[in-house]
Amino acid sequence: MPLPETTLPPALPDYAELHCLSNFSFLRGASHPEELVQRAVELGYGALAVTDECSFAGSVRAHVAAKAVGFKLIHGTEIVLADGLKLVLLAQNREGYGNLSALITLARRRAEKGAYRLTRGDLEGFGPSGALPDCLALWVPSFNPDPADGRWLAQRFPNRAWLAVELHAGPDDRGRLEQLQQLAADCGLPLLAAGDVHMHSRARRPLQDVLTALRLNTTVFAAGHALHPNGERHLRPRLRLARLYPPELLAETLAVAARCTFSLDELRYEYPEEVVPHGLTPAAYLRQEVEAGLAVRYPDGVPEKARAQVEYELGLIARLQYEAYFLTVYDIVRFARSREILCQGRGSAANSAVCYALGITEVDPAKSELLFERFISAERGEPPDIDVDFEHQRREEVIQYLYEKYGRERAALTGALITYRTRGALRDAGRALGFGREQIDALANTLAWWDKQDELPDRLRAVGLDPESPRVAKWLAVSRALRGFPRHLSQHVGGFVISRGPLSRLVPIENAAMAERSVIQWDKDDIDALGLMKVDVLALGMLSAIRRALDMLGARDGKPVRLQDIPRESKAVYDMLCRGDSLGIFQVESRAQMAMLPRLKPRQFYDLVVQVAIVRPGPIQGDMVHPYLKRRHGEEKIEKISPAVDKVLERTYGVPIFQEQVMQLAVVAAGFTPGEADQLRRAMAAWKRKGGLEPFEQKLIRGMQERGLPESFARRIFEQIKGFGDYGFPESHAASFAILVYFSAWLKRFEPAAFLCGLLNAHPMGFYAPAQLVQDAQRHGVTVLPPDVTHSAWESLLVELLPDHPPSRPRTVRLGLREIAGFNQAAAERIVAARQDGPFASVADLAARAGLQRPELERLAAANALQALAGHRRAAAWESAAVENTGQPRRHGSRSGHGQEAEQRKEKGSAKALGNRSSASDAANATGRSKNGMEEKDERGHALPIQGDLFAALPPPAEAPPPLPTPTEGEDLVADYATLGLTLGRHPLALLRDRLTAGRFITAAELRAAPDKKLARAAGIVTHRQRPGTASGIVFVTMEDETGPINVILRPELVEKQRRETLAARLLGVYGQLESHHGVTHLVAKRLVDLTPLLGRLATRSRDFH
Amino acid sequence: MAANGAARQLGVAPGMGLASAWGLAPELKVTERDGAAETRALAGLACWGGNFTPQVSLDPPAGLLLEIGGCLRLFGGLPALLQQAVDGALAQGYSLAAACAPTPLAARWLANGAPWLEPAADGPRPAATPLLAENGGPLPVCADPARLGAALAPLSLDCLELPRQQRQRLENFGVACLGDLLALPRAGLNRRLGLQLAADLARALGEVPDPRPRFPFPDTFRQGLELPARVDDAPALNFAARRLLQQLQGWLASRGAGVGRCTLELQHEKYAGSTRRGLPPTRLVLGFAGLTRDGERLQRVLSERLGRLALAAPVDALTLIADQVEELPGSDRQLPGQAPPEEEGTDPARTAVALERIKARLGEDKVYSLAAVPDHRPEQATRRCAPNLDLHGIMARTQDPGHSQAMAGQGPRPLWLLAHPQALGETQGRPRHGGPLQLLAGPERIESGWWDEGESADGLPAPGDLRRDYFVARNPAGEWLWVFRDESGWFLHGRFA
Amino acid sequence: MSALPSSPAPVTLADLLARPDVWRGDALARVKAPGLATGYPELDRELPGGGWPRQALSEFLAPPEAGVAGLLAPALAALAGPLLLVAPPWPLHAAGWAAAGLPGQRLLVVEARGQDAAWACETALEEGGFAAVLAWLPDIDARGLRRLQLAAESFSGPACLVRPPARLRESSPAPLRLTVECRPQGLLVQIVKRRGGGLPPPLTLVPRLAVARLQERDRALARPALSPAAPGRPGAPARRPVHA
Repeated sequence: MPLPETTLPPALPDYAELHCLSNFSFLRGASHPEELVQRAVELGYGALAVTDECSFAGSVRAHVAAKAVGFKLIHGTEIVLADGLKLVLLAQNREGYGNLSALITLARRRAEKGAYRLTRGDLEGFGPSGALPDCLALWVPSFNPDPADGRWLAQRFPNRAWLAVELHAGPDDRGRLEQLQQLAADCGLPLLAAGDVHMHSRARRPLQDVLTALRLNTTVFAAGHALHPNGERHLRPRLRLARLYPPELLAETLAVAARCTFSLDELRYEYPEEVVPHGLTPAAYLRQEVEAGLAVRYPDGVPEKARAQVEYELGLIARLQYEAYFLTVYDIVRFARSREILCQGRGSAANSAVCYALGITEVDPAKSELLFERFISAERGEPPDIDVDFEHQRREEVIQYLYEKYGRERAALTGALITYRTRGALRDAGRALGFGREQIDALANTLAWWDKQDELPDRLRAVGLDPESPRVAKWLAVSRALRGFPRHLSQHVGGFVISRGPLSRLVPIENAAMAERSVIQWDKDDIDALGLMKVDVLALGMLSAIRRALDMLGARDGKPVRLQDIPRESKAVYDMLCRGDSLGIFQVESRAQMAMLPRLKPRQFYDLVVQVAIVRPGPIQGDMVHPYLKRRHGEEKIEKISPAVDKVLERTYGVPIFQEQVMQLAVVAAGFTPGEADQLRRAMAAWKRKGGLEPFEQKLIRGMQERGLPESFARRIFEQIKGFGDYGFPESHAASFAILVYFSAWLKRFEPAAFLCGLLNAHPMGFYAPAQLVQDAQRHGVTVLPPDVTHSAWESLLVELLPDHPPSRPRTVRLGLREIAGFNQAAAERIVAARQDGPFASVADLAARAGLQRPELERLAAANALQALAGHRRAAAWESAAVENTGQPRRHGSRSGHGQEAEQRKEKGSAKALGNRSSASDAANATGRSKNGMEEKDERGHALPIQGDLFAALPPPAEAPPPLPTPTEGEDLVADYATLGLTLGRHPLALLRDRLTAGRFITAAELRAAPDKKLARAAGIVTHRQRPGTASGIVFVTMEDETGPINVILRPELVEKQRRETLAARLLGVYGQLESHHGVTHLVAKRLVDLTPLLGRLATRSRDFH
Repeated sequence: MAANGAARQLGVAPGMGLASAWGLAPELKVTERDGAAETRALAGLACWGGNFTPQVSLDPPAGLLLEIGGCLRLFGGLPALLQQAVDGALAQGYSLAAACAPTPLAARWLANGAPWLEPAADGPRPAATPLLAENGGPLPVCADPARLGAALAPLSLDCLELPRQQRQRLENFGVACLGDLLALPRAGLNRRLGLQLAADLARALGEVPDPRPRFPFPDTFRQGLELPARVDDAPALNFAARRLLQQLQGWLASRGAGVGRCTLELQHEKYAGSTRRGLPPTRLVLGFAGLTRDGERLQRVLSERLGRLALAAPVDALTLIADQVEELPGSDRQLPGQAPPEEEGTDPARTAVALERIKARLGEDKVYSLAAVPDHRPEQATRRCAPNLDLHGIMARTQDPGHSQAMAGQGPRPLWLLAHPQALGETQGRPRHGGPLQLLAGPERIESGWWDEGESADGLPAPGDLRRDYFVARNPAGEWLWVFRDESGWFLHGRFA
Repeated sequence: MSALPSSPAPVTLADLLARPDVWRGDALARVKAPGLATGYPELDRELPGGGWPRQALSEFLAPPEAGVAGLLAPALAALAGPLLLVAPPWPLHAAGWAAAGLPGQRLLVVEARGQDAAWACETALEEGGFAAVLAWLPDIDARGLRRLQLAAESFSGPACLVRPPARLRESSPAPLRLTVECRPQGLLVQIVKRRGGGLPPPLTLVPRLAVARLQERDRALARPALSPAAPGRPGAPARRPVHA
């Protein structure tokens, strides 16, 4: 840049930048912390303070980068007080860091997510040594500063406050300097130079402007003076600083830096104490609980193998002092058990004998072939990893338990850093550059949906943008720079950090978007980098479904049924799985899994472990599936490499399937230390985003060659590692999942009705809509009855559990009112409660006794749930529609009482299938109390809504029922789909079958029986469309007719040619050719016909591209 | 979203998500809905409606009602009138559905159920669409109030534009068409669906009157038309201009007036290639020997002018302004009383008159006011804008503390900014202008504007990314100057007095 | 837009004075509204009415560079209502005017030259509706001036005309005429014609510009010009507090 030079440059002064924002000051800073550190090193700065606005979110990254090069990093934060006073606060030592962290927590916790609030009062309550001990303060004065502010600060921070002079080639820097010198003298503060750095280099100016525009929700064109007038807010060369600032102002920065000695390395994590009973050491308590658990697990005596394993593990745990960690997880699991919340641990340490004994997992390590020795690595010094899955509808109880037990000062969720991905970057950059919403949507959506990134120019043209235009070029360039930038801090799905002392002195805590949640400002990687401990408390829908099914079985049979009670290794279960009959079963219900089951033919538990892991992009892209299958079925010889390697790969027929195997191979075959193997694992997960696998490639191949392994083998292993990429699946997780596969399969095989109820009541979850689950259950001999106000509860139940069920109707399910779109639980519970006092006489009676409003009645009528009271759904609708006019809306009495009751129950979160009835009847008892103490009951003793009584006494105006025609089967079917999303009547295609047969369309059943390569036509309702990334443009469509699902394969050429049919048809006709292998039949489409018009208004929904 | 006929053919349906629509029809052209433009278009069409009847009503958002009971004779009976009206509306360039019924609501419902008619592609005049074929052409007509119920019965519920909830309720009763609805007991229906539907039915069936407010024809005529594609050839504008002339004709008819002179403005493309400047609109003043509202005559004069015109640049929009409008004697229609009373000459009014006079002589764009634009680049920081004579508002804003605060952080800014920075000589590295300059403040570094680098605005290259150091300077003569230095040297850019 | 006067119309002074419609400066002065305070008390003292005259033409004989706008700005900012600027010599920079107390919306600019400019000025004075009119009319002729003066008499605010200094020798119907020159010390203002007669000595005025303080600062620091390469030398280190 131009600068008139008349004097020689002064000697390079030393400098420490003390006011610097990274991109963790979201939408302000335009450089990564790593970039800032690196640039500061290049410029020869003495130190750098990363002072993100009221945040330490970027501090770990900066720390790691600085530590790697031995550069001095200072931790601090920029804070603007509520009255506008702007300060930079720096931590001098561990104590000061803790104070700052607590201050940020205070400021963040009292404001909404993303905001903070701090007042002067917050800096006044501290001790005699002034505010915020062990911290230094820099005042960043405004354009028109008030000396009183400076005096206040000087008083609060005696000998610890400075006035920061920040010169950015403004209109009159000389005048500003003079003004601030005068100000400093007025309030007795020393001056120092600072940069208000927003980016590491001037070149980030466009990106910084874009961030500003996004922050203000405008465009760069309209952002105006909110943009910085120039690019001076970067890390400036010392030569330039020397020309801008008097030397003593620069020297002062070093004096300040010298007073800040804190490093994040000083942080020490301490496990909570209360998981150990008083008087016991953690080791003794763990030993005690493990022994107790072993006695339960092995009532006939602990097998030798298990005993040895336990001793080995306890030894390792003791050496690494991880007892408290295992006990913490144990405590959580025990809490869940006490509340009958189903849970299951997974992760490397979960499948240990210790965890099995503690009941954290059901996977018996003695019975499986899992190798345990690497579950925690002594070398890594990293805490062990256990994730615990809980029923998704009840996980919140566990989370609240943690908050309650440890307090919000000591427990918080891990943050999850949301960074810009390509689509979001395009979207926001486009917005800031003033592109229209339509264009942005078009581009961002097509990109994510259909196209790969190198097709971008074509895509641009397709949405009417010129890839050559300067604006578009800027859009793309800015998007590229924005990609990977942190966007906001969210909450990790369930990672909890719990500490012994106040957590807020370790890391700032802020509010999450969700009420009642607080998160720390560090994410998983940060926690790993600092070696802190976290427990993952995750939600799993299938656990809810299993729990519900088990509860129902227990209620039916009069004795509790637990997971342990399910018989293991049932042949019938494996037979069913081998047929690919797996709809609804955990993990193996997808189409790809269904197709794999008959090929893999699982016959024992370990086969399920492989089954879960093998249908993943990793093994598929690494080309491991076919070799595995061939070798398993003895069609290919298992090659011998070396004893060590063979041992690692033995259980998977010489093919690496699991992440652990890759790591183990690196150790035994290439001489990696376990720590290096772990680095390899991390690199594997990240190489697609960041690259960086090359050093490992050389080391791996060299290492294998040195150990006498052929280079070809080494290369193949390396290729497989690359194929794993992000998707390598750990064996420990697969084992935990496999046990749930088995349990859910057992339920489907032996208790299909309870299983259906469980799935429906835990919905939404899994891969299939209720309609498919119901049809599948019907095909398996389950009778499904429609929702009916005279029988149904809120949830779907086995009829045996309903008070008035006919004597013997096994395998029969009564659908719950929750299947009715838009119906609410409170109303359903009032219906159930009212029903206990006697049957309903009419719709009006129902409305009065259950306190139903017209919209609620109309939903019931539309779903045909009033049939028993009012005849067909139209008549019911007519009757329901009249209800509101018979009285005023009920504002209290039954209604409000129930509402509160329901609310309270919701808070407790224990909306269990069977609990509903009892709690609902409690609510009914409460009904008799009206607000003003008046008791108003009808002759049966039911409370009546007070307002309605006046009119209820009058007979409704005489009204002849209108001539509403009975709906046809087709009309009923449409209405069923519209209200329930499913029909219990005939399948829509059964109604159309005659017309389809005339068009020579055959059924799914006929298709399954037809020979390979046969040309065939089939038609069905589209239920799923998928375009897996691994299938090079092929689209998989699943459709169903009245006899079952039909798998269709669309090649890319056909998709391109028949886009409309591919994407929009709800009833699709396919002309194609059969491909049938191992009992799995696909129809490879040659031509598509959109038969949707045949459906009329049938409201089916396809779950597209999930 | 909505979709035109061609898009519907490809499977694009109203209400569909954009992404799905593009999935179906990648060539789909999408434009954002412009409510103001729709309102203007409807007003233009209402003016055109004045050709048929003075009783024109708007039925927003996109409906137009013509009360034709009184003018059947004038147009040779109902079929002829309908044919002319539909052809004329199609010639206005709109896709439309039309119907004729004894009540406005019935007509609207029938139209909602009628098939869409598409305008012919740009050509002289669409071939007359046969509307009233024996077995029900595309234009439903019910002239007999007694048969209205029967005529409405087959209409689907969609035609009634009911609120979602009512619609749902009726479907739940199994009501599929208006006939089903009419068959239900009215009292029971009222209890269940409220009185609004009952009132609508009564209005549609003519059981209660349904007066509609008349379209207030504007006092002056100024209508614009955006061309679907740019036009390079003047005579090709005839077709589009005809639409505006027809609107003018209708407007004149509605007020019983004639036009003595009108102006057609041809707007030139704003964003032509970066080399070409945006041109001011071309004005064609059409003078007539006497007052007229004869469309053919207007058209003839225009064709003549367009035939001789060579366009300076492609045209993308037209505006027609009626300059001299007077009552046309012999008019059988009433002139709506509207002349506003003469007002005492207040200041803004006098300002307006003065500016009007000056503009009329010097041109619209020679008189302007200024707005400060918050852009760091000096060239971009001032925008010319239309005068705003609401001075109370202005004064209030000036005194607004926020306003002055926004100014506070800014550096010194000159009163005058040279149209082009003027290169300055140097003496010993110091800029010179009437002697060596004394630099009193600075450097104020301005680096901004990368976003429009390499682009063009209004036909000129955009200013793009500036990188300059500005100084406040004074020359030996005592002039206060604003100068800057960039990589190519020193420049004088502004004067402070 | 050219700021230079085109060649003056060949009209002799005698011709002009012979015309009956020419108003003579020595004729009886009509009673006018009090003047508009200029913002410079020393100048107000010399002006009949105590400020810029209203309902009359004021003529500034000055090159555009002299900065008549800057001189007038304090007075204009004190007015309410729109200001009309006819044929200004350079484009206006809204931020500068706003800083002088004249937000852009109050400014109405007419771009014109020659006859058109004079006509626009006259029309504006005739129709009224402006708080003041400021026009640069380098080549207006005597007849035009007369028309403007007539129009100005019915105009409620000041009507200021900037003409090249060379026009000084031409007679003018404007009741107030001044020359303005830029000098290192400030603006040199010389009243060359005023009602009531008598010509005061020239005044040197420091223009009320925001930037003017920069010069004062410069003088106070007794430094020559800003040395851009080494800005911000430490001021008074003795006063600087330090932390022990």
